[in-house]
Amino acid sequence: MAEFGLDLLVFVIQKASVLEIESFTSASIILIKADFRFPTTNQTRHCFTRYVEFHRCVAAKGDEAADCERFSKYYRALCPGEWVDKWNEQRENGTFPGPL
Amino acid sequence: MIVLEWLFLTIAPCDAAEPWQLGSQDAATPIMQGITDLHHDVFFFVILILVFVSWILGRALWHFHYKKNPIPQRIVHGTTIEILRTIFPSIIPMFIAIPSFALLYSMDEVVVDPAITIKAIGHQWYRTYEYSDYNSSDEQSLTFDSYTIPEDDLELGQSRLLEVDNRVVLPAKSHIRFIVTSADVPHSWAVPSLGVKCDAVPGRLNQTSISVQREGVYYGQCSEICGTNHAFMPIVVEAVPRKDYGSRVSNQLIPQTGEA
Repeated sequence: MAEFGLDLLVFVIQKASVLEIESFTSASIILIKADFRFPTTNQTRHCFTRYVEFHRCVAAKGDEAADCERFSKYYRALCPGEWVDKWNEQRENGTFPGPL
Repeated sequence: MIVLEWLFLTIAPCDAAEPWQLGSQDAATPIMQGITDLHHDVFFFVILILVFVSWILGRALWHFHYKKNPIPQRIVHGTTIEILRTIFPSIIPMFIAIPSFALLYSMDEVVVDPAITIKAIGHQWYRTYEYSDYNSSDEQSLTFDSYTIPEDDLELGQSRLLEVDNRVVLPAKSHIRFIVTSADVPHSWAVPSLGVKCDAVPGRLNQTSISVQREGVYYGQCSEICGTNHAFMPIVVEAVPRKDYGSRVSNQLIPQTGEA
């Protein structure tokens, strides 16, 4: 696992240099652990819960809180981009159906 | 060539279906190995029952032929045989059920720490793959569409209706979590060699874990009728060594993300 993590780190650094994304740091390779609240094939609720958790975290600790980084990894790994875009829009319009 | 085909000695085109194939494709994941083994286990009982029933049937036809045995016997009851023919057929499904359930639940097992998560999103009629583990914002940095290669554009050695323009590259010998979903109608993400068949349902995320044991190129097709071009949205998975994974993915994807 350690070796693989290193490979990923190398990859992330390569990618960051190519894309010139400043925020690409070694924090990007947090491995996503399975969540035993959601042990089934159906992960729909998992994605939604993680998204809500992240935004609750941001609401509580402010926009740039490092603690929230972890939650963002979780929901980004799970949720399709299209869903995230839709939810972001809904949050802006105040029509998001979750407990924020 | 034809003789070779008769002898089932055709050269397998990587891990794709071949003409007149009888068995499963070569297993590349422990799950597929399990499926193949279960098939063989069950077939043992199937052959046993087939031979036994045929033998009984043959004997009955032979011995109770109307010319040989003109006066029918009036036996309507036999305790011993009734007990036997009740007990044995109930034991056999049990022997089939035990390995079957073991496999079923092992397929359902959640991988605790997947190395990467890949999202496979079905569209009419192509697939989108998202590698979001490396994202640092909601903007997708590693997303690409995978279209089938039209028949006219095929190069020598490529399989018709199986090859795609952008393959799913993943590291071999590591646990990978797939999130399968759809953006329009139900599709299905299926790769026989990997033992995966996961329905892609709009509005739902299905999770499946795979661990490819050997490097290679694995082919699959949409397995849920999804419209006119159902046959033209294949799946190609390319398992590369772990150490090559990073560079392979960046080489394949960065030019595209640059355009977008």
